[in-house]
Amino acid sequence: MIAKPKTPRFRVGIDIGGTFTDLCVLDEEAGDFFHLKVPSTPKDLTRGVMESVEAFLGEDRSPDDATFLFHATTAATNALLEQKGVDTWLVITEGFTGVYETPELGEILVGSYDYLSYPKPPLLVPQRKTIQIPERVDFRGHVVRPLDEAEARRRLSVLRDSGVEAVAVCLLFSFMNPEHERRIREMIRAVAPNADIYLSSETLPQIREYPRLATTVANAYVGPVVTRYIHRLEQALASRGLSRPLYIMQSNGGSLTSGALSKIPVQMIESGPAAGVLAAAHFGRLTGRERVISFDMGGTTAKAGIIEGGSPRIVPRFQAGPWLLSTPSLDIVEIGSGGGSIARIDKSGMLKVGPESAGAEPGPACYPGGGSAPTVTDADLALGWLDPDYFLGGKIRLDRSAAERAIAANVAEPLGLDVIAAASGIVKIVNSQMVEALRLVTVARGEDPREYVMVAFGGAGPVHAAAIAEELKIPMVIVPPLPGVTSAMGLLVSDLKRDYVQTRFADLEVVTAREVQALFETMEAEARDELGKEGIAQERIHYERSLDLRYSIQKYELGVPVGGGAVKETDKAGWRRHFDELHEQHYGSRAADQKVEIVNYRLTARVVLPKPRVPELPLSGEDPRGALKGRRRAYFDGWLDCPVYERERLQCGNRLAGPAIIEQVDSTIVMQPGHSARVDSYGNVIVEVMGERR
Amino acid sequence: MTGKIDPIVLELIQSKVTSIVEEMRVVLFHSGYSTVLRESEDGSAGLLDSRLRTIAVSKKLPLHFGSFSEIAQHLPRYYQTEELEEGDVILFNDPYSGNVTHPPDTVTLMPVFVNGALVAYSATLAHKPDLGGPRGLTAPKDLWEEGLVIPPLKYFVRGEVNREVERLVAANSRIPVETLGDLRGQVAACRVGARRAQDLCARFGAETVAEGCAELMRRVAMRLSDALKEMPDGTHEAEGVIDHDMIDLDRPRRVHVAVAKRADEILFDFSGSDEQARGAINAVPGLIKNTCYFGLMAIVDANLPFNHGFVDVVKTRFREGTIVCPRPGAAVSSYVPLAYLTSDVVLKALGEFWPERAVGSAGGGGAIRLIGTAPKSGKAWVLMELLDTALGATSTQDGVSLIHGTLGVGQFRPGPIEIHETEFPVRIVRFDVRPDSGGPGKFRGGLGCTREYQVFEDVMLPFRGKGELRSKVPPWGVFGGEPGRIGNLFVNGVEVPAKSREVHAKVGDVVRVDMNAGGGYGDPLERDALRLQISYLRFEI
Repeated sequence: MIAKPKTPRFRVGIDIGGTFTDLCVLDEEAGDFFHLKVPSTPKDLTRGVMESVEAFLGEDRSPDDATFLFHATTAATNALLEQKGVDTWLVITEGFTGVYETPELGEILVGSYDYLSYPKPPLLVPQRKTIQIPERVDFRGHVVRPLDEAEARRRLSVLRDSGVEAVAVCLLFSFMNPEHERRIREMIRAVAPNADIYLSSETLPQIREYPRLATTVANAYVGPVVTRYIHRLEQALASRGLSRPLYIMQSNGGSLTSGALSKIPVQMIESGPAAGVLAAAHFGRLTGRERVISFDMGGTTAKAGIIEGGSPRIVPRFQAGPWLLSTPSLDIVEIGSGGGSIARIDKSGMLKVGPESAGAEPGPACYPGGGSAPTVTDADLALGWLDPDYFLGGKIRLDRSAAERAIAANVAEPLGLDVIAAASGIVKIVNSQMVEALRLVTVARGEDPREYVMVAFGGAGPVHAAAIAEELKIPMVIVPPLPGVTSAMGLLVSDLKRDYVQTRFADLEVVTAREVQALFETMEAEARDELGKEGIAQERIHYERSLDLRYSIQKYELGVPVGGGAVKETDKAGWRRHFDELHEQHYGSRAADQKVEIVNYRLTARVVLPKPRVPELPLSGEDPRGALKGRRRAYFDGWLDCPVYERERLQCGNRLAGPAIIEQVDSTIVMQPGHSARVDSYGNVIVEVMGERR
Repeated sequence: MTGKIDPIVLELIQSKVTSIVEEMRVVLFHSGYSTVLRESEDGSAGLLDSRLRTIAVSKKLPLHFGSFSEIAQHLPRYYQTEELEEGDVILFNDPYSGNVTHPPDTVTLMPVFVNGALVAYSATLAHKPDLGGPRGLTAPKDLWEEGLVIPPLKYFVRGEVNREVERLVAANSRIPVETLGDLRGQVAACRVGARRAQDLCARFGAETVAEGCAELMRRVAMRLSDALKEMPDGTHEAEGVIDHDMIDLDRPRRVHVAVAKRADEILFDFSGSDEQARGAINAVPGLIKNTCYFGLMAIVDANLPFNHGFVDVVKTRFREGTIVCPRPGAAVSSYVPLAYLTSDVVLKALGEFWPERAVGSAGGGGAIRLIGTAPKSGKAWVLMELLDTALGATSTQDGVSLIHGTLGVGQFRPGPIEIHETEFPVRIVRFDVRPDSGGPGKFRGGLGCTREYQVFEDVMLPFRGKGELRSKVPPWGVFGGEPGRIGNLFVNGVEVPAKSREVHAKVGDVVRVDMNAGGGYGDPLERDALRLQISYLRFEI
């Protein structure tokens, strides 16, 4: 007798954050979500993951019912930021020890330094662990100093029995000719067979030696840590019967199998934040919005991303702590304030909020066993915005008088204010920080926030979003159904994606269509080969080609998309036109008489995964009173009596007027006076930010 | 201690003005035409109150902190407040009329109006790709040899560009399109600043904003005064030497400071400095004051925002006719070596008051220029890059290696080798840390670098002098620390004679430049074993 096999139906997303590990499962058949939060387990991240998996499977579900397993993890982030990577060595061209010592710095370090002991990004490999190899390739890829094999072997022999775990190899111009790097890999294997070896010509075959070297070193430094982590996790999942391939989120907003990621572990650094932006894009799409600001405010930080034309904005490099990494990444700005940020009076008598955070230990003053320093969460509570008895659905009981005492002693009394004025000030200041950070990703880059909607999530996001949107004149805030696990939901709508780059200079007028086509085809063959090894059929792979172009006098490039299929000679004029337009858009001028050069070829290989069907809710009436759970006083530059609603009982079509508070297990939506809101057919609360208030 | 202004509003104003000047800076570098401005980011933005007192200035270039603080002294000679109207933009570059650097930098200043009343000014300072002046070898002997001099004049009148000014500027520039484009970029940045300042006034009321800004200045002044009270009273002197002024090669020039501190008052007296130079190494007092502001900020509290509070507290004295207070008309276009040196001299004097915050001398700045002519096309090319020296050691750690001078911290770096070789007929055959170059000490000075260029066409290199004019008194150590090694220039391994003004290299020659290192802190014999081991790992000994 043959039993009819059941169709698998659970799409699983697991997102590890700094404080919590979130699980979000979509039942593709029933169209509903299972979700939960467990504390993250920094010492062994897999424990938190497995705990959440157990909680899900424990309810009588079969692991065979899983369709996809998606994962966002802090494994690479922690290894880099806490400098807990492996013992790494570096191999370079002889005579170039200065390259790694001369970092390109991102904006973050600038203007926030101690002038006398300027904090350069720490070197992940000391000079003594740098091996210099006699060899040299020139800018055309010609060998001008042959690799001295005997000498190289002699110098590499220090690696024998050294316990080295990873080696980064970065030779000058290896993106034009990788032969010497490859030969050196063989030599290293002969003396240190257990070391992971990362070549710059494979990590980032792109011109500019510092970013290529720094990115390759970071890759090597976190690589073995990440590989071990994934291996352990896959084993643990398999032992629980979950044998589907694990798809891991990358900084570029695409997922990738663990096998393909092992070459570019550094791509996992912004794993979690990228998932959040993907989720925001998804909720934007659901509500018919293509220009979205994603706003994720948690305990210690807030993150903002930009979505244009329905897709997250991508930048060619990003800042991870003090390090600038040159891998394509979603454009995410991180702000060092969140619910746990501490308010204090500085030496000039000014009220400052953050960047110090009370974190999970000791936590805000209002937490059981919390600290003595007042935080943003304490201010939210004192203002009546949070319910002390319904924080995390009542799991944690907050102590309002402890919050007020902390604010009184540390802020109100020194400033000569009453507690409520001080609490309101703390909130205004933290909101102002968010506003200024959001201005930097929009206005300062020529984008008008009035043309965007904001998708707000994270535990503290919906509490603060509407006031922030109002100041930026963003007309609408969308709060997804499960703000606390929105990033994990973002995982469920991701595609597989792998980015490739190759520098090859050419005068756009001189280069032939055939040459351009040939180079793209070589890159596509590499993608096919790499993804093929992961069991992905080649007909499922879509390719997106683009060229980085520049005027020949300039140092920096702009990316121009190139259509698929065979490149034609006539295409070149179109790229040129497109580039001139982009240049004008970005820099306010074009130089039609200037020669244009190709610098980099870029290829994105994408495998579109089937998207979950999102069920629509039946339309109900406008009256939200069915969800009313009570009323309480809350402070909006004056005490107002506000209705308090239960999010889970709101119906599609309900309309609400601010001031109002909407509570749910994982967050609280604070509606400012004058704002109105409705519940859409996907359960989103859509806040219309109206009018002007002081 | 608090005035009647709401402390929450005060902090909100602080965060807004900080963000206004940073946003202006972004606009400045994204709307200009020339790559010089965009990629070197050599410029600053500021917001001033109705009395031309600095409210906030962008943080990236410490040497520019007080750039707008001199305007108040000079502008009234040209315009009275009643003559300024909404939409006007004042332009100038004259170092003797309110610009604190040199003629290639231009200042734009825009009055901001709310309901017809002048409430503030937005201002920018930025380097121009070309405003005339010598090309290459000539050492300017006075201001008029340094390019077009622009006194404060109306570049925009009530929102309309003054075409006559543009024609004059264009006629005096080798690349007028880029130069005018960059000027327009400065105006765009001023307009952004003005609009945001108006928004701020609309939100809190112009009067509250003015009071708030004045209070912010008072707070900074108070914080500085408090820090000064903690500093022991006394007088300490320090001096540094520039090898020569690039014209009179046998005569070193000395900058001297006597810092007198009593209770919460401090005076930096530079009147003991040498007579002004004929060559262009002079610096105007406005710039020298910046080294005092910066020095105090570095020693007292690096997180303190710069505003007029510094100007109120920091007193300076100059004697006209010295290298740090030249008579109007003296050449200043090569002010940078003296500016870096003075910042180290100021830090040295301050360190005597407060040994645990003292720091060894930094290596200063430095750059290399290779000037060639393509044999086939006859087209001239210039490869110019700023190179890294190092910082001095502090009482708690070794000096930072490979970084561009104290006042430019982290700001400038050499260009990518792979880009240079793709674009120019050169091969960079070496770019190494200079091992053992940092001044020995309990904490060691930062290390300089060595860079070697093999040239494939004949080139000429202008040569300022050994070690960026600091060879006579190398970057010193403090409290027993020893000096850092000085840099130099070599062709095929042969040292370039100190008095050369220019150096020639032929096809295949190798030009090597060594950069200065930083000075040490404390007795080298006190260096502990762990530090020795760390130094060993870092390849520093």
